[in-house]
Amino acid sequence: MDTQKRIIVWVSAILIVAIAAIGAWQMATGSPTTKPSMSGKMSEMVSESDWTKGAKDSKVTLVEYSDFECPACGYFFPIAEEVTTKYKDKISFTYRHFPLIQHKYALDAAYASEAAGKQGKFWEMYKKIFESQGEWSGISNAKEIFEGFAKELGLDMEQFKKDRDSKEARDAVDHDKETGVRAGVNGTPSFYLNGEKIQNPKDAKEFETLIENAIANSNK
Amino acid sequence: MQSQTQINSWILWVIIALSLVGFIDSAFLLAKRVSGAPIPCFITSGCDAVSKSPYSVMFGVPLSALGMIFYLMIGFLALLYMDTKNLLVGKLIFVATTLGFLSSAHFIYIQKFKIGAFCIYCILSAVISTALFTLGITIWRRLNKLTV
Repeated sequence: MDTQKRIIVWVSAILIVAIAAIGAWQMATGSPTTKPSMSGKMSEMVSESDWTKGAKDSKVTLVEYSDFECPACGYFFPIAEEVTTKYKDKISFTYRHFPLIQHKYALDAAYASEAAGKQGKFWEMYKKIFESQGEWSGISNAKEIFEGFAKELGLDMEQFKKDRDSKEARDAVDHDKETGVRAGVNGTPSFYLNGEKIQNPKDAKEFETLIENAIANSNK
Repeated sequence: MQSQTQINSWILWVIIALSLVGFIDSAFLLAKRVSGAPIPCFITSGCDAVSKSPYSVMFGVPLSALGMIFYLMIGFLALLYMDTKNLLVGKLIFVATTLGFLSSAHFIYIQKFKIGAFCIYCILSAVISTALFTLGITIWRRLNKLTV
């Protein structure tokens, strides 16, 4: 290679590497901002059978497919809490189970939340399970830990255990997961804003932007 | 000297292309780590369990950063070989890709047996380093033939 060609090759190599690094950075951190991703409509609208809180008969619905043992879901828990509390008069928030097989206790956690829900404490259990995710995930007595939560919530323990082990709880969780699979949910957490899948926001602020846009659009 | 040019340039280009993909993959993982935006858990593979685990750091340096340096070095060596046709550089490519392959095998082992979850970006990296390793072997064999 002559010198000129050499310079061109090496300089372009450095440029390509720099562009690649910047590109990767943007992919990883770039704001999904306002646009819902192109793929994915929810397969089943929010109904009575769902666990929903926030505004009643809201025009704006936020649905999360989540797994209690998934670290990313744990990361999103406080964010989702923050934004859904802030907009609790304007949007509704629905939690749907999407337990992944790689998580040993995700199903137990889901059943425990269903059983607590039977006694009107779904969201309280949901909160406890997520808040303590680091303490029970991967630990063999996770089920007992959930029982401890049920006690703390003042649930009727006998009923709790019965509901937790019931076919009804299994069916409810299976049903949630199945609606997710049909919608093309391929990972957790997956958020649907007004039935459209959104790219996971990076933080609460980005989440708020997405929600505010949805609220603005619904008022049009 | 002439015979040393006999490593097909397509092999080198493939190496460069693969190391670029590996570089982007590692850079992506590092950026995710630094920015704190979590990688979702996927149905078939693991999730942040891997990239946030204590195993994801070696001597205080995130493995993704080491991956970036590794792929950068391989790409650099391939380009350097194209430029200089230096036999030693060719052999270094082989040594480096072997190192990469062994590390990847080790990381897969850790994911399977220590963490019990996989990370899709780490698997992509393992696939790339395996491909690089096979190309490294090809180079090694050609170079050995040339020097006999």
